[in-house]
This record gives sequence, C-alpha cells and structure tokens, in this order.
Amino acid sequence: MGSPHRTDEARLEPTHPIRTRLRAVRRVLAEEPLLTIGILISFIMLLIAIFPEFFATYDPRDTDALAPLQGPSTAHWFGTDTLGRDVYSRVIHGTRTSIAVSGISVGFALLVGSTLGLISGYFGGFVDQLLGRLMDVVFSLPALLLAVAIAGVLGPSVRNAIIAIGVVYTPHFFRVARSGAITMSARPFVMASRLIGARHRRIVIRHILPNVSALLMVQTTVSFAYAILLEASLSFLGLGVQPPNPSWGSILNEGRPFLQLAGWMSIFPGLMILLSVLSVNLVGDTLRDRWDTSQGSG
Amino acid sequence: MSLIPGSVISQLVDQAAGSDPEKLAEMEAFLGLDRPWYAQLGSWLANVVQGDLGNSWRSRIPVADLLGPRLMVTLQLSAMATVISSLVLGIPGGLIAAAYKSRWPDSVVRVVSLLALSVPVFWMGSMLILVFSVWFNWSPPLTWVSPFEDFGANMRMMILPAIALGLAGAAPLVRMTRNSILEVMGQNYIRTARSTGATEGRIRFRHALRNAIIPVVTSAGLQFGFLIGGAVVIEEVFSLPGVGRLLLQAISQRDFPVVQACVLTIGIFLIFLNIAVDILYAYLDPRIKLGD
Repeated sequence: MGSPHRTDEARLEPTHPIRTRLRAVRRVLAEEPLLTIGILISFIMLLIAIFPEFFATYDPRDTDALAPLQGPSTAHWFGTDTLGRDVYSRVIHGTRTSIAVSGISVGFALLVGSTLGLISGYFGGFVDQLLGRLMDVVFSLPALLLAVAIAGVLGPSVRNAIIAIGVVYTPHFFRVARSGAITMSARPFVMASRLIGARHRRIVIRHILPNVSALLMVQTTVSFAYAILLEASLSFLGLGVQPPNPSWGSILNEGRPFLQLAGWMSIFPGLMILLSVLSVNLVGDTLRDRWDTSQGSG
Repeated sequence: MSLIPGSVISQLVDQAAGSDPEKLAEMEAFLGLDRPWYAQLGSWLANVVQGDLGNSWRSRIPVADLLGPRLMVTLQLSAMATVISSLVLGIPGGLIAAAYKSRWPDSVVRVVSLLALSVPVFWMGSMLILVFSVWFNWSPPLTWVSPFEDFGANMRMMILPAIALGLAGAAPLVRMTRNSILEVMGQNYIRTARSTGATEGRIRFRHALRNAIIPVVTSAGLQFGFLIGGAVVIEEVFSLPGVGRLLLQAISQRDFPVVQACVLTIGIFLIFLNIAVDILYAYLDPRIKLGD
C-alpha cells in the first residue's frame, strides 16, 4: 500500500526506544528551568479547569447578603463581591470558562487557518492570491480592535466571543502553514511522491503536514496565551462571558466600579490571568527559541 | 457588518413612538435599511470614497465630526505608549540583555519582559490606578484636556494609561533589540573596530547600535499599530474620550455607521503607518532603495 519512497524527515532519524526519549525530555527540562515552571503551572491550571469543585471552597453562585464586599480573610481567601459571593471560588470556577473559550477559539483558528494555509501554499495560483489577500486584511487590523468589532456586531455572548477570537487568530496559522507548504512542496520527497502518482490530498496530509506540525505547535502555544488575554479583554468590556457566569474577565468587569473600595475583586482574577498567560508564554518562548536555533526556520 | 440588521430601529423607535409598524418601516426606509445588504454596502463604499463617512444613526452628527477629536486622543495615547515601550523600556532592556548575554541580567530581562507580555493591559491600568490612589493618594483627573490647552493636565491624565499600554508593547522590542545587537556584534566590521583599539563602550554605541537599531525602528513602528488596538480597552479603564470608547459605545447602541467608520479609519491609518515605516527604513539604511 504505502509507497516505497515515503521518506518523511522523521523517518530518516534512528528511532529511539522510549527510555532514551524520556531521558532526552528530562535533559531538556533540566536545561530549561523556565520551561519546567511553565509546564508545571499550565498543568495545575488545567487541573483547576477540569476539577473546579475540588479547589473551590464555596459555590460560586451562592450569595451571602450578610457579607458583601469583605476583604480577604481565612473564610474568604480572596474576599467577597457585592453580592457576598466568594471571589476565590468564582476565580476557580472562572478558570474553566476562560481556558475553554480560549482553547476552542485557538482550536478553531488552528483547524481553519492551517487547512486553508496548506491548500493555499500547496496549490498556489488564484486560490492562493484570493485567500492570501483575505488573510492579510484580517491580519493587518489590531487583534483586539477586530475582536471587539466582531463580538460587538454579532452581539455579546460566549459563542460570538469564540468566533471573534478564532477569526482574529486564523491568519496566524494560515501564514505558518502556507509558508511551510510552499517550502515543503519544493522538496525532492514531495516531488518524488507526486511522480509516483500520489493524490494531492495524500501528499498534503502524509508528507507536508507532518513537517509543518512542529511550527504549528509553537504557533498554537503562542496564540493560546494571547487568546486568554483577548477573552479576558472581551469579557471585561462586557462582550464575552456574561456576568452571572464567572470568567476571569467578567469577574474583573464586575469588580471595576469597586476598584478603590474593594480592590481584591480586581487584583486576584488579574493575577490568575497573569499566571496562566505567563506559564503558556514560558513554554511558547522556550519552544520558539529551541526551534529557531536548532532547526533553522522553516 | 451590514449583514447583521441589529436593533437600532427598535431602539430608536421605542424612544420616539412606540412600536407602530408604519413608523418602523418609515424609519427603515429613512436609514436605507429596507434595501438589500449589498446595495447598502455599495452606497456606503461610494460615499466613503467621496470622503463622506455618513451620519451617526443615533445623534445624526456626521461620523467624521465624531471621529476627528477622538482620533487625536487615541493617537496621542498610542504615540506616548510607543515612546515608553521603545525608548524607555525596549531598547535599554535589549541593550542590557545583549551586553550580559547568557548571564543573569539577560535572564532577568527575559523573565520581566515575558511578565510584561502576560499582563492584561486593562488590569495593569486598574492596578496602576489602585496603587497610585492607595499609596500616593493621587488619581488621574477625570475630564480630558487637550495638550494644546493645558499640557500639564493632559500629561497627568495620559501618563498612567500610556505606561500601562507601553509595558505591554515592550517585550517584542526587547527581544528584537537584543537579537539584533548580538547579530551585529558578530560581524567583521566590529572585529575591525576592536582591532583599532576602540573601547567596548564606543564599539557598542557608536558602531553596533547604529546598525542594530534599524530593524528595531521598524518593529517599533508596527508596534504603534498594535498599541492602537490595546488603546481600545485602556481608554475604557481610564475614561479617555478616544476612538476605542466611541467604538464600544457605538456597538452597544448598534450605531453601525460609527462602527464601520472607526474600523475603517484605523485600518487606513495603519496602511499609512506601514508606508511611513518603509520610508523611514530606507532613510535609516541607505543600502535599501524603494521601488527597486
């Protein structure tokens, strides 16, 4: 079935047994303490997002009319908001929403952007021109401005925030996939498989995609960090997650009128955003550095 | 954007005369909303090309009059933030990191710039307000004053948002400066300069920086565009009357001519910015010739 000329780059390297691989991973982690910290924090964030009930101390929607706007204490670690809800528990439960919204948006951008990018770069011609121009238009507008405009026009809701963030980041993946596909299409192994008569779809999926995937991975990490910030900004402006539901941005939105009266409503969700974006950035930054220096670009 | 009808009609009519269907249709015809979307888009484009951005559906004021003064605020804010992120933070940070490559100051600069990159701009703004009001018992004035009227008052209002915005833009410039300097330092003419006995400081500032700064200027120029985007939220936090707030207000009122004009104006501004950066690039580096 498989053609004898299938020579993915990875195939040329000797295949390591699992133990050697693990040792290599451990060596990289030891060399890059920042990467280790980043992965560790991201992992904790993921746990919080999956099991918020385990971390939260109260129900995030439980109001307490007797204890509104209380400062941080042993009972309420991050204080309480105007309705007496526990800010810590709301931040914990908001993690899931914030991470899910950013994750789905980036997934959407990855899927649409890289598919279109691969097609555009592989086939070239009119399709490439058209898609390229379209993506340039989206790319040239500032991300936040565009997201605000899209989310605003579609109407404020979680679904529309996802669409807005996804559309904003699609060109980033498009560019990476397109330039990768152009470089790879010129490689001898792609020409070889074309000569044997492999179908276009097969060439793109089996030969080009695997060689672009590392770059797409880096792009995914970087975009994910920005998407968390973008989701927070949209929800903060009231264009994303709507107030009764907690997300980091929407809690900040609720806390804004009480900034000087109840600063804790603003401090802690922001710290949480900072921590999670920082951890993803630590991973992305290290990956990019290692990729740029050891592999050359594209 | 014209694809989504929105509820401006119902909003306007609710205020004016209840929900009389005849009144509704009349209003729709008045605003041209009874025509198909491509016709609306076509006539909008035709007017825009002639320099007419249309009138606000809400206030009936020409959009250009609404936009003009607000654009000045946003541009001033972004310009100040660009200066802070490049001259105050980015270039010095990059110089330090390059001078101490792979030693602790390099790592400190890297972590700090990643931190700055990870902070939500609007949160940074809130925290600055909080810190200044709690510790220094000072908060920025609430009414905006033009810099031509009272420069001091204008600065008092603009400095905190500019710092918050500038911090967010600094990280890529730090990286750019650092890598650019390291690249230049490895070149032959630096070795030659060293062999003439020039001091390290002279080499760094006289020979290396001059060449290394060119790509930094370019990215600082492009950064300016990115910061205009960030200005949208920061204006909301500091209640500055800029394009960002106008846009948000127009969105909540479904005032589409204003929304379209805001996005269009910033888009056009960015195109000119890119051209300006290209020209500046050629000016700084005589080896580059525009248009072949």
